[in-house]
Amino acid sequence: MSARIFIKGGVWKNTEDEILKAAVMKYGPNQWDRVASLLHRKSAAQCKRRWYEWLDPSIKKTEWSREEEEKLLHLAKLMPTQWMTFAPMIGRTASQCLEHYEKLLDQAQGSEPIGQDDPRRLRPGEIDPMAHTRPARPDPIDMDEDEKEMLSEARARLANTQGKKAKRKARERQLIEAKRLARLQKRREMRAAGIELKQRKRRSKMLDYNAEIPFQKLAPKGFHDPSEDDAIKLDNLRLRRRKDVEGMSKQAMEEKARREDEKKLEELKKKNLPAALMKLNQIKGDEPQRKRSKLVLPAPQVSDEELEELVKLGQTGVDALATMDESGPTGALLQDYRETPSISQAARTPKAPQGEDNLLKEAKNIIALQQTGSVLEGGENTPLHDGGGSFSGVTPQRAQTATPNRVLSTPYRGATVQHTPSRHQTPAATPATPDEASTPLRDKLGINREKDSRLLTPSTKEDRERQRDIKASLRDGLASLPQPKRDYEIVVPEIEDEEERTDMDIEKDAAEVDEEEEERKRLIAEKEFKRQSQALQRGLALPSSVNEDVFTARQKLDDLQAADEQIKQEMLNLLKQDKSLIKQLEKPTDEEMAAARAALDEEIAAVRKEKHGDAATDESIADEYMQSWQRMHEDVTFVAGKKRYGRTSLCSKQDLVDTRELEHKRLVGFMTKDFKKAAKMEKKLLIALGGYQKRAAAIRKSIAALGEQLEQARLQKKAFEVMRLNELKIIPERRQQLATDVDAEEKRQTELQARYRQLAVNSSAAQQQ
Amino acid sequence: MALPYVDDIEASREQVNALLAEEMGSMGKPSQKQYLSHLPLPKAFQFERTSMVKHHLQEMEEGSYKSPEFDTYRYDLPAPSQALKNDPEAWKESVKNAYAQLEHQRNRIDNLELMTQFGGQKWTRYVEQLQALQNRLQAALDAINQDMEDINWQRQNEQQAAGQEFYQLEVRWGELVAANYQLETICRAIEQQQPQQEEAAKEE
Repeated sequence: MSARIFIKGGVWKNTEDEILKAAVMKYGPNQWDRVASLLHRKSAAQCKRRWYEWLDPSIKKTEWSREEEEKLLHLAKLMPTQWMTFAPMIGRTASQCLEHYEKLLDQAQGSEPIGQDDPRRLRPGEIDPMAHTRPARPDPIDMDEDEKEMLSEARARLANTQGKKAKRKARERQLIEAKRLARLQKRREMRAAGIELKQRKRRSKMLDYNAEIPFQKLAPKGFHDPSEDDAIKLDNLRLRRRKDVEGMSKQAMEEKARREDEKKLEELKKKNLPAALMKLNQIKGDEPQRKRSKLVLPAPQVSDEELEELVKLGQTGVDALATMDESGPTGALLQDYRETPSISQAARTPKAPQGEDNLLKEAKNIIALQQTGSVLEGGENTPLHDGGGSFSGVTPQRAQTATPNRVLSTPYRGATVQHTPSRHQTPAATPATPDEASTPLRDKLGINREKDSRLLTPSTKEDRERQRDIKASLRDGLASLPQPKRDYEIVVPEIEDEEERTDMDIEKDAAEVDEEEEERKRLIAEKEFKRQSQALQRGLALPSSVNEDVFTARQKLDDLQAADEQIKQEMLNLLKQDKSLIKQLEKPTDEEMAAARAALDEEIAAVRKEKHGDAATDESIADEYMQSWQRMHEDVTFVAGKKRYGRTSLCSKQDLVDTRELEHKRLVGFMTKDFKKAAKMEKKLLIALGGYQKRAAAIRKSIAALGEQLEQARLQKKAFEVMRLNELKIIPERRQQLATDVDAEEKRQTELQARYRQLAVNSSAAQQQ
Repeated sequence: MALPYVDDIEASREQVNALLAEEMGSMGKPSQKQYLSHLPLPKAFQFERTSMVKHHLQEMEEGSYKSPEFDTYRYDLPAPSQALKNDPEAWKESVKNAYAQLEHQRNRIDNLELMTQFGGQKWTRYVEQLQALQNRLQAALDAINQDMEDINWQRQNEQQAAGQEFYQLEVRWGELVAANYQLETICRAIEQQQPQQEEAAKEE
């Protein structure tokens, strides 16, 4: 008896798929032997392929998009037969790629997907080698015995979803949970019995977010007062149904909506049959099968700005026309180019050239490349379709579709107008002549004749002559331009410094050189500064204006007066120079300056000796000068009547009064202004600081009250202390007194007892007698 | 002497009040506000007796005192009087005065500007200081109150402990008194009976 040969494989059934999925969930995507042990009719490798090429939820089973197809063809060209390599780049599985690739090539050849005598077609008895990429076959109602057995076994094995360790862990978890619950229950009972167990505080460096709940509002303590609740009336409760609480069920709602829709449709049928039919079709899903691809519009070729500029240009033409006298001889020189003739026809949106089907071309190219014979045969290269992509990049090249520009093309300037080339037309075959669909010619002055191309290439003799004339006139015009100068001055750079530097033994640091330069500059600046006038050097105030009226009006001058005038002139010059009113005077040299300084010192010494004698100190002289300056300064006032400064002693009384009154008035004006300003500031401050003042006053008040209270409290305390001392004294005294009282009573009792005893003895003796 | 935490105070209240009234009566009229007025003032307050201070104090008491208004005279720039309208010297004085007053005004504005710049901070500091003082006083007061409470607690404890003792002694005393009384009565009764018995015995 020979063993029956049993080959695993074949179509996947629904049950098998389900078992496989469950098994992968349990064992993971690596233990295919274990998985396969659940499926009698499939091997481990088959299970794996089924999973990775069909069942894995990450597999895309949607229709192929155009982009994906382009990528597929391109990558198949770049990496022929390496499906596994580039499948992830497309986002499909390798087998999907292969299948779709074949389908595309079939389409390119225009043949049926799989013909009757195609070798790929399965014949009866053959096993589908790609069974793992087919959808599962539905389960029959009556399954085979062995299938049922397999199913039940798988169910049993897969139901056990956990291993030993996991089970143990689960048990432990359960135990811990039970313990926790028991502890909780115990604590609750203890608390109910009035025993508060302290909860063990968990030590943790972290913050315990469970311990504190932000904005927690605790329920009021004590029992809940039910009187505030809205009592549910029992009658209502009985009348209530589930529907009242949960609302209508979803099914019922849908039912209702469906009924309403039907009613509406009936009504619509009565009123408007076509619309109703359309709606009916929509409901049945009778929409166009083919999905539209994404609408890709090319970028506009004429921007808004350019259009605006065109409008402006047109406007200038109109303006020019308006200024012109039409009936004059120049009337024919300008024409109205404002309106575009027959714009209404030309402005129709032209049909964009249909993108050539790159996909198909690519596929055809690939087929052509595949079907080449041996290289040894020689001959021409395999003809390839243009635009079918290239080997230049990883991603397939895409052609940018452009809107044909018909509005702004220049007539007679070559074949720039592209219009609706048919699919198989090559660009070279595009006619260059403008037809009625292209930009209409706007030639109101009749410059260009029909089919005129004179401007481009001179053809006739007449044209050639005309061109020559133009050239000649241009040359004449240019001849009047001045000759270009070609004399250059060559300046040899000074390299003395360099030589000097090279002479030195050690080259200096750049920083040192910089420092020296700085020092030199500083010295120069200092020298310059020294040469300025003393007023500038000492930073004294300069007069706001230079008074030119210092010269005497007298014509005849003696020597002294003349010298005075000269000095005045010099002073004015210096002042002007300091205020940079005039150009810098000629700079005196250092020697001149020193000589001048010496002469001045000599002069000063002489004057000092003559005026003050030898005894005077610097300070006394300064005081004296100060006093005299003050005197003179007070003597000078502004005379309002003459609008100039003058000597007080020379002024009339009325002038003085007027001047001072004016000044007083001015000052009063200042005063009022300042006063207003100050008042305003005060008001502002009061607003700004009022709050502080109030607060301070309140605190001061409370401090005063506190002080009083403190005094009182001190007194009270003292009083209580004294009281305590007194009481401490009293307590033993009173105790003593009470004790003596008690002692006395006790003593008396003893006496009485003795007496009683005596009496009792006596009486009993008497009775015995 | 009473122990207020043990003894019944209400009973002795009137007596105490009477004592208090007597003590106050010895000082003069109890209703008089300044019942210490006949005593000489301490040396430290003697300065208040100058005439100006007296005057102000009197005003304060009467409520007619008003703090002087802000003196704005210094900001006035009076022109010379009508008689001196045409005197240049008077005008000169006036102008000089005006300059001085303007300087005052400038000073005032400077001060106000300083106040605007630093016033907020200054006031904040001042209020803080006041607050600190208040807090200190409050703390002192609280401490004293706490001391007082402690003392009273002590007193209460001591007195109540003593009171317990007193009570026991008193009870014991009462019992003894009652027992003695009984004993005495019985003894007396027996003593009265005895002669009769003796007589009866003799008769027998």
